[in-house]
Amino acid sequence: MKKQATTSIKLTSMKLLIGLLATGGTFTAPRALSSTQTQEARDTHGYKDFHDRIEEYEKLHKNAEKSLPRLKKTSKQEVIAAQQEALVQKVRELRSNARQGDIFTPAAREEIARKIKVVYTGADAHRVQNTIQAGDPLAGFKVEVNQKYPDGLTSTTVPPTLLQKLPELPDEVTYRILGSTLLLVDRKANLIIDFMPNAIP
Amino acid sequence: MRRSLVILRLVIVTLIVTYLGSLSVIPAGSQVTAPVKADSVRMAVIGDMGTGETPQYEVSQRMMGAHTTFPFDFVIMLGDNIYGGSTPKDFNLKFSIPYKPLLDAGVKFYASLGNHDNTNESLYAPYNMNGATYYTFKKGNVRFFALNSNYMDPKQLAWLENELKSAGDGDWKVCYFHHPLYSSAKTHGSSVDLRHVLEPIFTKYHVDVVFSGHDHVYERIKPQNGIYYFTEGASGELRPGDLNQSSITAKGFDSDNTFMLVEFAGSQMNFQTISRSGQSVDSGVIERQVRKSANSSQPELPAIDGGLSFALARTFKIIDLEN
Repeated sequence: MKKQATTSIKLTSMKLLIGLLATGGTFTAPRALSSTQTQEARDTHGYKDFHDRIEEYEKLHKNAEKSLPRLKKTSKQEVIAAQQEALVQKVRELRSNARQGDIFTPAAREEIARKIKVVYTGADAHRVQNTIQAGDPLAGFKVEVNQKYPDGLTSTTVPPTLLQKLPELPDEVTYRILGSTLLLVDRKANLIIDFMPNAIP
Repeated sequence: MRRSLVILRLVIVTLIVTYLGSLSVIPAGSQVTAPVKADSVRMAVIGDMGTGETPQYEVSQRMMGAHTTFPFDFVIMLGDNIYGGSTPKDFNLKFSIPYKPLLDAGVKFYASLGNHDNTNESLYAPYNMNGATYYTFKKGNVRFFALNSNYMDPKQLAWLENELKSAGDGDWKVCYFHHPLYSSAKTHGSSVDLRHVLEPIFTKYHVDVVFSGHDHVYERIKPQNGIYYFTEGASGELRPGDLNQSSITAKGFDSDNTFMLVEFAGSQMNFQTISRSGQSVDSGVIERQVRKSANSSQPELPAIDGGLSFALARTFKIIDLEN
């Protein structure tokens, strides 16, 4: 009996020692986060914040669509235009207090700027720059939240390499680039829902 | 004042009616060289057409003339379908009026989006996009993939790869979208970032032919990694002198508007490019070589970069009827 108790104590001690070694002695003092881990924590926070706000917008868009006649294919362009306009008005109504930065929060902007910088300082930089510069020039357009993307204004191609690095968006929302500004646009309403100035170097 | 407006309206209506009447007089076209075989897949190709101006109308008349001897069933549209806005008036002047004779003849149009197009064109029924900005459809032994090159996001790439893989290697695979992967035009040129993500997929899954617009010229590119590329961006718009023919150019034309006629019959693709004035500016036959899937033990075709003669021997046989 005594021998079994001794063996048991030894095993427990071994387990405790292994546990201590595995945790690197954290019981002794708290360990400061490395700069990489701090960066990861910021990235996670920025991304999560952006993701949550985009999800909120996605729900808002779906609610707006549900309250209107369904956008169906038609031979009548005036019907498409009217349906789009109705969606625009509904989204504006549901987001009457929307401001720049509601989705592109400071943390999200910081993370996205960092991702863009990685692309612009890497091997893909010249290809991405060429794609954006090849877009038709911007014709004196002032970007505002809840504003329609002007009918007839050309779209600069969003470089595929950049799209692979930016946070993923739901089907209802798309990135667009106007000059150096990165926009979030409601695809069906063609409505600017937020923007990030000086995002594109 | 009111009387002047009435007279003005009468003049406009008379002009439109006269024009529509003139469409019944089909201009004498150049000889169509495609054989028009039974059960073939026949189409026309237009790009950057939606100006609503005289050249677009004249090209559409030429297309209708060609249709009498080469009855194509559908048209693929390479983007910039409507310039300058998307009001009902724009759609009338820049699509439904110029192509009315073809639409009335039952010809279907399958659009892709250009950088001048509103995303909601995907809801316009005559474009047959079914609400999607990228989609696939099949005609006979040809599988078509209409892509949205304005926004080639990971989701679209994954969809494309899945669809190309599912399509197997038995049928022709034709991709079309607005921005050209290879172009010798000065204004835009090759879309190199798009090429970087698309070309590996195209070569892996044995895409045969790619049509694009955006540059307002016509250019046939020498086969690149076994794939034929065409730029047809001059069906309404035109940039005369913009083509800077290079080592990758097989044939180029930039002094007039153009459209293409294409026929797929078995393993052959006949094509002909016709100008607004009726001149045949390019034509040929591409012989498709059946290739094994990416997992096959058969060795991959070597990369081809301007080596046309080698490409002719191993991949495609093309007879340039214009030279």
